[in-house]
Amino acid sequence: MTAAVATRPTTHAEKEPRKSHANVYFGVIAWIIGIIFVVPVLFMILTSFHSEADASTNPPSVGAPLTLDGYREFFSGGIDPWPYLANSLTASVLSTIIVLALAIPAAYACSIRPVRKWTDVMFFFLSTKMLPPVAGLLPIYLIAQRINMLDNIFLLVILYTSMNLPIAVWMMRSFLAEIPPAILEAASIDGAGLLYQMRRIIVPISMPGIAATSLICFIFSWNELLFARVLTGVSAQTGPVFLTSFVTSQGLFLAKVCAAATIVSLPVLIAGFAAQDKLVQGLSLGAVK
Amino acid sequence: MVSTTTEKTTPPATTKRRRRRTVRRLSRRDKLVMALLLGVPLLLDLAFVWFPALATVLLSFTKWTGVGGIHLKACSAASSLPGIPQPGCINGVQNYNQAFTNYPDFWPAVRHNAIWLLVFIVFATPLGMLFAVLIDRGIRGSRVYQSLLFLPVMLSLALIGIIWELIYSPNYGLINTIIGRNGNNNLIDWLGDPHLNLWAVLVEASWRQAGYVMVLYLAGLKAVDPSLREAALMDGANAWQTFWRVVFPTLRPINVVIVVITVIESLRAFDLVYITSKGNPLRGLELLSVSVTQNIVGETQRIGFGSTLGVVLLVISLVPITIFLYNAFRREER
Repeated sequence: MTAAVATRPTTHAEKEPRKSHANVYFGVIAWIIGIIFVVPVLFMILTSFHSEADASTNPPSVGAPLTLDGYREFFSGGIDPWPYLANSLTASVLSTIIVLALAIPAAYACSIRPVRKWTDVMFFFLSTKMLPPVAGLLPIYLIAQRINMLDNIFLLVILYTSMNLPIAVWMMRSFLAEIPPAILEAASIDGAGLLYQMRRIIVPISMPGIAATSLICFIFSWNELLFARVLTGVSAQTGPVFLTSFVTSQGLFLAKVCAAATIVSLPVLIAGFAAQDKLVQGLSLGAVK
Repeated sequence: MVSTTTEKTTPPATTKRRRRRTVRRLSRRDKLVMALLLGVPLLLDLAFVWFPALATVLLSFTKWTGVGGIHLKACSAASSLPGIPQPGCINGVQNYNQAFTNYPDFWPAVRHNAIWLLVFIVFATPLGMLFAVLIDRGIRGSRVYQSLLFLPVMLSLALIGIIWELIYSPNYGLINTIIGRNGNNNLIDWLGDPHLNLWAVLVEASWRQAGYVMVLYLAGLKAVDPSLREAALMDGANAWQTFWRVVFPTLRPINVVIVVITVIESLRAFDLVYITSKGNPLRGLELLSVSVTQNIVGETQRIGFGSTLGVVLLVISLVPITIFLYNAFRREER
């Protein structure tokens, strides 16, 4: 203890008590703001466990008894939510699988054995991510209408695939770049082909990265509203679209709406917290490694 | 690149010749494989992102209800029979003219998109940066703190809209209760009042954006060389000076990304407004992206005009894309 203090400059040691006082105040204020930040989400979850009568009182009855009625009503009342949740799951999982199948090889061609001008390729991918999706919405709508793909979940699968590809390629590139080239060289000297290297070396080593990439693609697809809203009608509606129409029709039943919102957000919350640190790579458009 | 590394590791001359041949043979096949590996994703993005965007530009010069084909004739020459759906025709810059001069939603939409951007820049971004610095400087329980702020980033914007509707609800909402405006005679209708609703929605948007910015700056701050900070402290700089004079300049790449993301997100704003207005136009919440969808999902499809609004959005968003790419390439050349 004394040794540690002695190495510090004395002026610094003198300042210490005042600084820590300020830090405590600062910390308390920061935590109050942080708690205010989650209040909306907590309020939603709390309301979802209240009875309808308790949910719509003025002022809100925060301490009312908890019940699962909202959830029961959501799953067994009038509208069956399962088809919509299943649609969301189909669109998100399928597009994520296709994205990975395309992005890992593309990332390979941009990192482990980089083609010439690979940076141009990477920036082309990124530029597509920066385009506002609404800019291409009309032609997609028209073409889908002509080829009878409106209200078809596979249209969303294809669109989500092309939407998430850039992020996935950028993420996977940074993960693949971390694989020591010596391993791959050794394998190719031993006669391992490209496919074998992929299956036995590249994929296993970059598994954490692949997991993070798939989670972020899953979250983005699951949360997408614009395309899903415009391009689906009845049978291919996804969770968020269903949620919006649910709010419009059932808006007065606050507990039920909150239960619905909680259910729809549950998959992404689980996925998000599972890979919180790794998601940064995707969220930053590949700028932060 | 592969061939050069292989050559270095093969000393005996005989094996060298043999291996070089295999390498060359492989590399020709590899070239094909590589082209395939990159080509499929590139084509997909070209077909489903860039092609539609370009098609939007072409459509923006037409007048079309989406019914029937498009005739390559000027609209002025086409005969007009009331009640019968007209085939599409070339409308020149008339759509743009109409958008700029007498489409009532256009200028409010542009203004609201601009306000959106401004609020993100002067409010959400500094807030997110502050959070990042707090966590990086080791606030107590930083792990949990980070998770709290990260929560809104993962939620869908549709959901955020629903959550806040609950908070803003005139009768049952938290805010009116807390500020004592929940009586029937003094209710504040946060989301309905055209003077208030944009700001109310911007609070929702900033709530999420601040967390987003926090995550990005945090990643950047973690990468800052600690010795830089130590050196600054040794030289007698206080925490404020250290951050702005020493740490901040090293965050330049992140700053570029945040500028780009901020512009993109403020142009992309759709979901929150869509939820808040229940899909109908709502005074005070006109946005460009909302106007585009209203021109196609409504009863009267105005494909050409909707495309025009889409092109305006596209042109604005090309500005940050260009800045980003310019920066990226310049960094590379150095």
